[in-house]
Formats: sequence, structure tokens, C-alpha cells
Amino acid sequence: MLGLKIEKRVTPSLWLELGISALSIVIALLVGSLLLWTQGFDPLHIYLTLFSGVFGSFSALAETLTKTIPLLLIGEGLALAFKARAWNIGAPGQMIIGAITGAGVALFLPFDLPAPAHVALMFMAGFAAGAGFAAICAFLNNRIGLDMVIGTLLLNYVALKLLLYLLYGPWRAPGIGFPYTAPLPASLCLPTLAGTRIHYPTLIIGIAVVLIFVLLTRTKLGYEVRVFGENPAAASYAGISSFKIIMSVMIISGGLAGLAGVGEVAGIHHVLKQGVDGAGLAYVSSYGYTAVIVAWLGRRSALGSALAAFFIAGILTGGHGVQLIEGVPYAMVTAILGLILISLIGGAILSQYKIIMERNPR
Amino acid sequence: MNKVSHAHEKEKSCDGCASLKDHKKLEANTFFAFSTSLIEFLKAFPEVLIKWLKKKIFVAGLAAAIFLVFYLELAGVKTGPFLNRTMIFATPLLFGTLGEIYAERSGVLNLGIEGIMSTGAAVGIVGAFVAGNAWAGVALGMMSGALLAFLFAIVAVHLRGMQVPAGLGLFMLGLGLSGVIGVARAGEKLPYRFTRTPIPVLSDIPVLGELLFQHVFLVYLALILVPTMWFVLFKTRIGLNIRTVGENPAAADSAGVNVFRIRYLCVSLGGALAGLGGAFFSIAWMGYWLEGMIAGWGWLVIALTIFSLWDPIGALLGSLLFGGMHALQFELQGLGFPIHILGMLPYLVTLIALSSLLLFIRRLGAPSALLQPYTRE
Repeated sequence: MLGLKIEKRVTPSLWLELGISALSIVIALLVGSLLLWTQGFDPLHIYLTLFSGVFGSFSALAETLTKTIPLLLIGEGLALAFKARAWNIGAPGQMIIGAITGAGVALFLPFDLPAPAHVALMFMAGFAAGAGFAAICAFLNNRIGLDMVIGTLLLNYVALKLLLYLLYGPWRAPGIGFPYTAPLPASLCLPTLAGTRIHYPTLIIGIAVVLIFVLLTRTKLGYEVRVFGENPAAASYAGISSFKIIMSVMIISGGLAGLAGVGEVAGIHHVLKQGVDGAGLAYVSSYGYTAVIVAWLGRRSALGSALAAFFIAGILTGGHGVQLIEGVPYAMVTAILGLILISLIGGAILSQYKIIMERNPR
Repeated sequence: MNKVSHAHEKEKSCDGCASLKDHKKLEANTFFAFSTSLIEFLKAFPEVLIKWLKKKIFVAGLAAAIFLVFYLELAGVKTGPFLNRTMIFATPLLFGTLGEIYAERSGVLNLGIEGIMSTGAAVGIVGAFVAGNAWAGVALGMMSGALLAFLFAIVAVHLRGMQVPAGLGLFMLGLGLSGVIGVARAGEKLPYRFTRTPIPVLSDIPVLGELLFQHVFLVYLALILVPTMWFVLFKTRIGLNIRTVGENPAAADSAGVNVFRIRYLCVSLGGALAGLGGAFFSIAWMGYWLEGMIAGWGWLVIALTIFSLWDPIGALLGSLLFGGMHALQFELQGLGFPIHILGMLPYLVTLIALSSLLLFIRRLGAPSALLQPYTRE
């Protein structure tokens, strides 16, 4: 006789984790195909177009890499924050604040600097601004117990309104029909790889961040973050300061979101405008929200998130392509991304238990 | 306290030998005891005050608001239209918060309210267009909300997933769905609208009439739900079960309460009410649908649920406060304030209000089992 038994699993293997990620993507795509079908599209055809639109040509691949850059930067930061259970959902706001600061430094610096130093200053200011914006919530969370999700989220809307205020008010460039600032001086625009929009200085920063984070897991801080995230009570017993952990992961993740914002302004748009964070009409398609999925799909590890960033960037690129070619609303991509996240969370239970087949069950 | 018992012992020991000297000593001791207990009382006073305020904080807030309105009326400012708008803005928040209170009281934090409200708004208006009836749209919006919340409940209750990221997934799914569904009718004016039905006598009351009794039916429904849901939650067996499940699911389970069923029901009810809030947004209030029209109101609901201290009465007062904040934007716009800075107001005020509440009451009393999945192992 064969019997099934369910047992607790202590440490899930890497292959199982990868399998769960793959499974949740498949589930999300299946449910997504149901959605597509109800809207009168042929799901298989749409998915084929989507994936050939991502990996089929050089320009599509380059576009995917372009979209990978902000997702990589933010996703890495969020992976670190989520590891410590600091629910930083404020990446869109931190990215916008970073973009505002970067553009401000580029346009309104009262003294002259050589171009490379000026660009470096833009990035540093963007990092500081994003980090400071995130630190507000981290401080309130740690000192008075303000809910992190609510705090960071509400500040997203504050940041968006601030951007709109600047664009429609004091920073608006005269003589342009759109609410844009004046374009950045050409010397401050980031160089791109020939024929593409890949602003490689930011990409290099992103890769450096991945490497640093891989090393970080072997340092004391990385260890403390891991312990704190798994069991805050045990961490405080071991003398790990919750204030230090929360503040540092929030400052790092907020700062990285700020860097991503500067990269978008200086590398892609060359002006400050609405949608600088990758959001179109629907605010939810901001890179800051998408990066939440990147961090979870990458199992909150540095390398995993890097791969996930590339994959999700592919879906975004393909989504734009499918929207243009087939007329599928872009919101469909958002829905599928949400489904991926939900099934990832639901599928996590598989990694906690294993099903054992045994003969002669008692 | 020590001194008191000490004095008491003294009194007992000199029962037989009552001399004048002893009496004097005793008197001094009683005085001493009294003064120490007074000091003890004064020391404990802030705590007592906070306990009292925690109970009466809403009453105090209401009193302050009434005072303000009367002050403005006396100063010759017409507060009627402002109050009327306040209640309309408060209604979707109220629906969402009432539902979320039930979900959180049962121990499940559903962060996807923003997504559910968005989908409710889109499904509601498209349903109203298709069915040719606003009520059908409202019903469909509610159903879509309940369905989405049920999906979330499967992940959060049975699959024991982490509620925060699952809720974020629901937020994105809901916003995406709303875009997919609503895009066909984006910006189109709905011809089937609800009409205002002022309640005959009550609507003539000077200030309260305009605030509460000159609205469409859905607003009255929200107002009726407040005492009903308060009563069910705090005065009935069902409510007791819900609260126990949220505080101590193991105890509830051993008492024969079906923890899973209660959680599924509460989360689905929360979703249905959030969907209703979204449908109110598009059908009753705006009369059209636009992508991203919910614009963070679902997140305000999450904040309001904390702010209400998980109490339906608190939800009413809190949503009136935030509805008022939103209505104030329109008043201040006329005075020449920049519109986008004013747009920050609801979010900033929520943040400040929550922070000051936390400074004031250190422990808000959230359901103990919130965020903790229950398993029978």
C-alpha cells in the first residue's frame, strides 16, 4: 500500500524555490489567459507575440535591458528591506523624490562644476533624498510604531503631488505645451550604448550594487538583517538593535530608489516630467511597485532579484509591444504581475512542507 | 499603599491600650497615608486620563467638530454645502473601513482594498452600462469585490501566505483588472444615476440635515450600517466569535468556532463592502470612470481602520474627518492655494493623525492574531 504523508520541511532546496517561482509564473499566465480570452483575445497568440517581442530582436532586448536598470536598483533595495520585514512600499515616492532632486541639482545648481562631478553630485543628492524620504517612515515606525506599509504608501502620493506641483508651478519651462521642466544640459545627460537607450553608467551602478549585496550577506549587517527578519524577538535578545536594522535597510532601499529616479531623468527622459517613475496613467505601473514583485520573485536574494528584474523588464517591454500591435490594454500586464505576486505568496506553503510517499502507512 | 496597610496594623495593635499619644500618631499616619495615595493617584492620573480618552476620544473629536461648525455658522459662514460634500466623500471611505474592520477583527489584514475598490468602480460602472440600471452595477461591483477578497482569503487563510505581500499583489491585480474592464467605457457619462432623496422631516434640521439627510440612498445605507455593524460586532454571539478568532484563534477553535469559516466570511464581507465603496465612487459620486480614479482612497481606508481603533463608530467619525479634509480642498482652492499642494492634504493629514494618535495612545489594541495565519498543528 502507498500512503501520502505531509511533513514539515526545514530548509527548502534551491531547485524547489526556483520551481515555485516558475510555477507561480505559469499559474499567473494561465489565469491571465483566461482574462485575455474574456476580453476577446487569443491568449496563445498574445503570449507568443509578447515573448517574441522581448527576445526576438536586438532592439527589443536593448529595451528590456533599459527597463531592467531601475527595476534592478529598486528591486535589490526592496529585497534587502523585505528580508528584514521592513515593508517599504514607498519606492515609487522615493524614486520620484530622487528624480526631483537629481533634476534640481542638474538645473538649478548655483555654481559651476565640471560635468562628471556634477553628474556624480546628482546621483549622490538623489540617493540622499530617497534615503531621507524613506528614513521618515523608518523613524516613525521604530519610535512610535507607525505602520510601515501605510507610512511609505501615503508618502508616495505626497511625492507625486509634489512632482505635479513643481511641474505645473515653479519649475515649468516656459514656451512648452507640456508640463515639463527645461531639458537637462547635454553635458549632464548620461551616455548610452550606441543605438539604444541603455544608459550604462546607471547599469554599472546597478551591477555594483548586486555584487555588494552578494558580499553583504556574508557580513555582520547581512547576518543581523537575516536574523531580525526571521525572528525579531530572538534578534533583540541577541542584542541586535531594531532601530539600526530598520533605519539602515530603509535608507539603503530608499536611496537606491532615489538613484533609479536620477538614472531615469538623466539617462532616458532628459527632463523632469510626470511618469518619470515609469508610471503611465495608472500610477500602479510605476517601477517602484513592479520592483516589489522583482524582490519576491527573486526570493529576496541579491542574485535572484537581478534575474527577476531582467525577466519582469521583459514582460513590461513585451506588454508595451502587445499593446501597440494587438491593442491589449497595458493594465493587463499589471494584472498579470499582481497574479504572479499572489501565487508566489500562496505557493510559499509548498516550500514549508513536503509530501512523502511511504509504504504501509500506520 | 504600603503605608496604608502599615497604619492599619498600628490601629489593630493599639486596640486595647488607646492613649492620647497613640491617637495622635494614628492621625498623623492616616494623613500620611492619604497624602501618599493622593500622590499615587496623581502619578496614575495620565494613565487613567488616557484610558478614559481612549474610550471617549471619538466623542471629544465629535464635540470639537460640532463646536467648530457652530462657531462658523455664528460667524456667518455657510457650512451647509461643505458638510453635504463631506458626507458624500466620507461614504466610500466608510464602506471600505467598515468592511476592513471586520476582516482585521477576524485576524486578516487585507491590504488590497485599493485594488478591490478600483475593480468595484470599473465593474460597477460597466455593469450599470450593460444592464441599464445603476443598482445592477452596484450589485456587480460588490460581487467583484467579494470575489477578489475570497481569492485573497484562500492565499491568506488556507495557504497561510504572508498577508502583507499577498495584499500588495491583490492591489496590483485589482488595479490591472479595473484598467482591463473599464477601458471600454472610460470617461463616458453614465445616464442612469441615483437621485437624491431627502428624508422628509430630518432633512430640515439646520446643520445635521445637510450633513446626513439630503443624500442618495447609498449614503443612508452606509449610515445605517454603522450602528448595525457595531451592534453585531460587540453585542452578539457572532461578533464575539469574530473578535475571539482575531484575538486567540486557538481558543476559539477549541470552543467550537470554525476559525477558517469566520475568516473567509469576514474577508469576503470586507471585499464586498470595499467593492461597494468603489461602485459608489464611480456610479453615485462621479458618474463616470477613469483609470486611477480611486487614487489612494483604498489606502486611506487601511489607515482609517487603524485610526478607528477597529470600531465601527470610530470609522464613521474618522471617515467624516477625512471626507471633510477632502471637501476642504475645494473650499481652499477658491482661495488661490496651489491645487497640487492641497492634493497632498488628505495623505499628509492621515499620516499626521495616525502619528499623533500613536504618540497619544501607545498601544492601539490591534487584534492580537492580526497577520498570523492559523493552523491546527
